[in-house]
Amino acid sequence: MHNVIPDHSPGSIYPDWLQTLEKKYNIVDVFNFVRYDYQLDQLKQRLLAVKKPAFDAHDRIVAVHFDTDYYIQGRVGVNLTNLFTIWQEADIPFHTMLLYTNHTGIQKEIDVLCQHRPAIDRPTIVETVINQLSYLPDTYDAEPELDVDQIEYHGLALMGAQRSHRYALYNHIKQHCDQIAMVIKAAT
Amino acid sequence: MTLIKLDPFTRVNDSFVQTDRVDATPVLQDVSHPLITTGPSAGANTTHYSADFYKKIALDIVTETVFNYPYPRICEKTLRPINCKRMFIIVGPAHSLKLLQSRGIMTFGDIINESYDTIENPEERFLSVVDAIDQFCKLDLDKIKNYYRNNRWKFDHNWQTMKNLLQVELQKFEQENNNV
Repeated sequence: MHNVIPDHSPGSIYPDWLQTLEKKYNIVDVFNFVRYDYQLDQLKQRLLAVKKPAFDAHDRIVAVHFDTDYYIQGRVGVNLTNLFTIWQEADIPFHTMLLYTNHTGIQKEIDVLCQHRPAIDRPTIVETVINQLSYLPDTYDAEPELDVDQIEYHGLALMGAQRSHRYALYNHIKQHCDQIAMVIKAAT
Repeated sequence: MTLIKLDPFTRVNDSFVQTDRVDATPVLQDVSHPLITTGPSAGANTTHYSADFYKKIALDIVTETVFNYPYPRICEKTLRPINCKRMFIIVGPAHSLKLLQSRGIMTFGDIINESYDTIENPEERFLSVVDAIDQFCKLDLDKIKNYYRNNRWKFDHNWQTMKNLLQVELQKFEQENNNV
């Protein structure tokens, strides 16, 4: 019995996606990686709780992987490396791992992490560009009108969480483009 | 493999500035344009698919969650202008536009210089992005409005593409896996 994350955070898997995956795989568990990437002991306990003496070829443990990673040398993310390490420590075959992710390009990292593993014991990757936060079905109940006459400003920049590219953009626009409406959160 | 401990823990490579050509000095006070009056956090980090102020702007300059990143990673911020039928520039990882195009989204290379999307070096990409913004701001607003009028089909196409994207992704997965 797998545990479906019951909220609408970006770490949730779409029910439609889960149903589709269940047609092909036996889904053993579903977890949101961002809830464990700094509590890896808890993740290990979770994996051990669903561990079987022998996994079937169709068994999959779904890691919902939507948050960002940190790169030290640029090739493989630290948190992804840790996920693989915990998986190995739990002594669970890698073919059971299914990464449901918006990291479109993560295969290159998997190839590095699994370079010494046999081809039949590698994770399944399911890439998507949408998630429960970005793709709200009721958004599409009514198609918006394109009212061109209301346009008054060249542009808009909505900037929330503190990031250097947002500060750099703000500093540039403030000096060069007064036709852009901006919102930015201060550094704390 | 061994566990790597980050102290303090982080999920973001925030630094990308290598020279003095980019000023990333932190902003010390919250800034909010008077146009943007609705919504939680004054519109800073929400989707705002129906906010009135959004109807008054021509271009959404999307600052994605990450900028210095090894590959594109699209989140709700980039989907906002598509859902609201607006043009966009993405201040994000290289090849973000290419990723959207691969999903059927049409971008706006006929009015915006989108060459920034192919630049891997983050500082060079940033300079190219702000150059594209500067060029766009030099356009007469009436010319931009005419672009919207003449390309209404493109915005409708993008909205429909996004509406259907979940089903398209599911069908693609099923087709690929049925053929295995």
